[in-house]
Amino acid sequence: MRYDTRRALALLRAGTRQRDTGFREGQEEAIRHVVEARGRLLVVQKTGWGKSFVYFIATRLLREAGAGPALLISPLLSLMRNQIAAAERMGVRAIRITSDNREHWQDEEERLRRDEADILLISPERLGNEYFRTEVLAEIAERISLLVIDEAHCISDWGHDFRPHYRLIERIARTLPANLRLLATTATANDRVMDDLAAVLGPNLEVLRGGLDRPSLMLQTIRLPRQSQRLAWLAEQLPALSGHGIIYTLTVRDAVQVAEWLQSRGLPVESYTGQTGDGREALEQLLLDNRVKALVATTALGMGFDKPDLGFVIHYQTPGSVVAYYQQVGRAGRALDRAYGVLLSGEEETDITDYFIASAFPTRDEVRQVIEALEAAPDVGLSIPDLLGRVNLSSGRIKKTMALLSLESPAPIAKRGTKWQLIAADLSGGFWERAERLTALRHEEQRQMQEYARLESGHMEFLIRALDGDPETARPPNLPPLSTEVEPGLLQEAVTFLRRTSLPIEPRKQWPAGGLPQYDVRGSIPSEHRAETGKALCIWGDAGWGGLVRHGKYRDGRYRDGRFADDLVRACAALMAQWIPQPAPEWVTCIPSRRHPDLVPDFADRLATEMGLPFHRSLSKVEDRAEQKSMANSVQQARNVDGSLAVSLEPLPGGPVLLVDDMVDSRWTLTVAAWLLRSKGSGEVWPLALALAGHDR
Amino acid sequence: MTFELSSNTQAILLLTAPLIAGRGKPSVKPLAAGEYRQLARRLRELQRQPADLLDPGAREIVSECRVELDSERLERLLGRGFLLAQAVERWRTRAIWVLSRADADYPRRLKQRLGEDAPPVLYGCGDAAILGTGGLAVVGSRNVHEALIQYTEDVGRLAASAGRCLVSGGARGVDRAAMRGALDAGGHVAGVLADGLEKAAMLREHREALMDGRLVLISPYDPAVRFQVGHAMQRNKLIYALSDAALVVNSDYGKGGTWTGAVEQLDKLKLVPVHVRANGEMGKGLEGLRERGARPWPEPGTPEDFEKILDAAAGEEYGASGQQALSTNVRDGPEAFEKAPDTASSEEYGAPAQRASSTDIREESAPSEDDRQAAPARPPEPCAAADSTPADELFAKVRELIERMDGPRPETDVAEDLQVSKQQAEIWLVRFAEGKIRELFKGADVCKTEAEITETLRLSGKQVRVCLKRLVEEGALAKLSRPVRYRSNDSIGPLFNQQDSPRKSPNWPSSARRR
Repeated sequence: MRYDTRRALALLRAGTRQRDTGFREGQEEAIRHVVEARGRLLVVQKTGWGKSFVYFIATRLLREAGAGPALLISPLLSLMRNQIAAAERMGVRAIRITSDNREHWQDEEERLRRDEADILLISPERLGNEYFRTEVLAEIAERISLLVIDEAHCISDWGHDFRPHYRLIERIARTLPANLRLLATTATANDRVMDDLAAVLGPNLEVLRGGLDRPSLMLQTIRLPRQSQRLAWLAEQLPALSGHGIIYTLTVRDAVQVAEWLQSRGLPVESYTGQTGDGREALEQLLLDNRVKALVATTALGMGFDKPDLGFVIHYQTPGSVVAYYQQVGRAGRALDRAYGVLLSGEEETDITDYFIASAFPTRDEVRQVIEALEAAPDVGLSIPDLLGRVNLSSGRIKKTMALLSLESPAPIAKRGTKWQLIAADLSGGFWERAERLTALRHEEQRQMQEYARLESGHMEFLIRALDGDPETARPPNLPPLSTEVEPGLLQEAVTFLRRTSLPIEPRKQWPAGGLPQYDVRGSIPSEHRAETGKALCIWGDAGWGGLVRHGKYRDGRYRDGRFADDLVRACAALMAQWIPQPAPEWVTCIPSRRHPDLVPDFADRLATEMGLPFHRSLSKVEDRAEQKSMANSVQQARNVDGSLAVSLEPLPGGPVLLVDDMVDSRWTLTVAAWLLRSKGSGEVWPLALALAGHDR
Repeated sequence: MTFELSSNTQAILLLTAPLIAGRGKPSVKPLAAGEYRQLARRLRELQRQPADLLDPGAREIVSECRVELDSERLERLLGRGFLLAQAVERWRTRAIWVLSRADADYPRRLKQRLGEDAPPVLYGCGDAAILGTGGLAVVGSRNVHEALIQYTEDVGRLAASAGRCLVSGGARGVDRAAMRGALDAGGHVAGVLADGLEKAAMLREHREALMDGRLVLISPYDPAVRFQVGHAMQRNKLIYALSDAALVVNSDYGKGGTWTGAVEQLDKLKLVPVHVRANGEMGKGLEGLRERGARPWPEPGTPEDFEKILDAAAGEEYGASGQQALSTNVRDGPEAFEKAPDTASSEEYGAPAQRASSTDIREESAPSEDDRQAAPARPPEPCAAADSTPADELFAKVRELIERMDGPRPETDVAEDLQVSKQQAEIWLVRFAEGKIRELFKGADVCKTEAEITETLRLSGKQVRVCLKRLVEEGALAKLSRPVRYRSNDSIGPLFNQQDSPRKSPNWPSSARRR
């Protein structure tokens, strides 16, 4: 197919709305290469260079010459919204089919079938979806003229942001015949990643690679171990920073909490996470329009979010790798002379990253449990709910195990409809080698980031070297470093803020599927036998009370039966004083335990004294069961409670009761206890727990 | 087994395979066997390979070929690269591999014995090495008595204990009995399927043997493809070609796939010695085959005797005279150029015995495309049924074919599979439905809703409704209300005894058309 220079330039000018603009270095070459099908091309350029113009213009030229549509696979399509507008100005009809526009799927699929789309944008996960592949993609698959793989570094084992479904893309890329046009793009790829990509995309891969330095960035690292210190620091520094920016956290919970704290200090910020749902687009727009000081975001605000005048990127915790960090901090100051990139590091981040690393792959035991369950299952296989009843794994772990196994080649399992079946292949040893290799690599990347967090100077050089660029190109910034001090008054307020949280415990209204045979109950729980909505003081291990609860339960308990601190008694009493449940509890009782016979009763007794109420032990454990926390999903936990509790106090005091426990997970113990108490004549049951835990949380 | 494809295999798949990856209707027809053969010959003459068609200069090569093929069609076929990747991924997730004639692992027996008629592509699951081990082919029909099932299982067991492979077709009846016997006794089995490889590969009963390397299932047809008339016949050739000797357990006389396949061997292909069962009642079919030259199966009782028979058959150069032309010329099949220098071993392609003059192609010794199409429709011998008309006999065959279809049987699919008009398919389906419904209501006091009947018969609601209405009008069924359901009408019960022979009903087709 012939490349038309004048037409391409006209399209660029229409897309950018700049009449006399020209191509950036390498852009035109790349477009020509794709259109003329000269072989596979990898473009490595910083965000903002204009990779999207390459594939949109190429798509348009191909379509004008009568070729079929293009397919673009990208992990984060939020990035696409402003680029799609540019595409439309060039007359490229783009269709997005992603999890956040489900309501449009049918229309979009119809447009595809009528050949009214020039480029289809999907996530890697969509490509792995059986329905999408067989019912939607299959209709246009034979006409696709160009495949674009965005964020191609994810294909590589070495890519920082390992996404299982890139395994699928890797295999598809390996299977594609040489005559299909293929363009891969990424902003960051070190030498190891490049080698991997060459192995997957073929020896004749053409590479177009730009430089790495960001001279406008003032990089700084500050060690503040406690979350309260970092909250205080943010509250003080944020108002003084010029412009608008992003604060990155490692977890959703932290993003929400940091945003709440800053809002409570009167700062205009919003949280943005994978759980924000439909509001994400509006939040991005707020930041683009400078109507918030910052978004407090997880990596869900990710690759390709395009705000050239972003004034700062602050990390609340250290990310897991240099590649991830460079991508995130690199969003700041693209079109500014100066911008801040500040990394705060704290004590909890190592645990969080370790957790991400450890849970990235299923364990051998998890795989064994799932395979054994499938082997024992009927021919039609098992659905995820079927598996929950058969293996002691959380639904999250089951889904992860199934997803990763089914992406293997050969895959030992396959899904037909909603059921998983075994197929005639064993999981190859390569799976475990790969898991071990990637796990070791993740730890190495984590170590490298920890080294960065300790740097006194030379931050940009460090990053460029780690990314196999030329560190000589780094130019010094012209901004003063920010203060590393924390104001004591703010610190105290941050501590109080972290401890202020109380969380609702919603009562269960249904017995589990199949009921509880030993208690002979099933179906819905009559409202007069349900618990009321209770409260928990904190989340297990959080930055407020979490540490103190853990200390009471385990640190002390390792040597003798533990004791929860008096501070926790006072905190619960304060919580009750604020809560004021009606009708107010007239007596206090607690969940019994054989393993720690006095831990919770002692605490409940002291709390009752503090509140001026009588305490009665009213429930007993009929037989030893495994600890609830060793049960990995709700079905297993419900069965584990069945028949294990009984009322041991006759007669029960008649009034409303406060039911105390240390940790709440599936709520089945509380549900059964409340049902027992109420059937034996107690008043309303108000659950109160020190901490919420949860495998699936 | 590797799932990586060579460039030649990619090109051959793009040109000839339907590449079923889902629901999409193909907008361009893959090359038929004859068309591909023509293209392959021209490429060979130009000293090109299929992989060259994936190069940027493919267009010039195509025009150089000057084949009578639409170049736009070729371009569109070759442009299906993404679809190819999707299809391969679908096969891979079901542990299905694919081999083309250009691959070194492609079974040599097929190339040597079938020449250009060896399928360009084989799909399979399990250990492909089994395909090179020869063994005994066992064929027979789907509907057989328990005693024959027993007999066939015993043959399978004997093959297993003699350490010989058993080759069969994977269909109900004799095929599966033979395979079951061999597998249960720990033997090796090659199943050559005419359709449904995807399903068969996922069957639990196959899984262990597939994973142990004792079973290989192959098919020359796309793993997702449904039963089609011509396929079973083409498949029969592969069963014979992979074996050292064949045993026909039973056969209809003058009709049916078993008969046609065996006669083709005896009269034309002569790839291996064909035996017929010698124990018990032979029936007209086996006697007919004997008359055409099939040998009586020596009915060996020990593994040693069994081995002797197979060794003798393998060493026999069976049909050497009749096959002379074949066995030299075959080697000039398209694979001569299809070898990818890096994958093909020199032994595979370079052995002098396999080189031969390239010019004349043995149209007369290999069955042509037309023969193949015609074979299954060969009119049955007149003595088949005393009072049935040719139309009834044709319908009997159609009924058999419809029975074999998996899943629902919409008339468009039936029309496509049988290559008849939609109206004809409708007429047959309604007649088929009538027979089935009569069967269904055979017992006393059977009472069913329309939905139940539709589901049991896997027919469209429309077809069932037409029949029910007719049967009610006729008085054979009573229609009950609230809920609407149907019951056999005892007073005219005798009607239902005829369910096996479709009635000659002059107004039947018109009533089907009336809708």
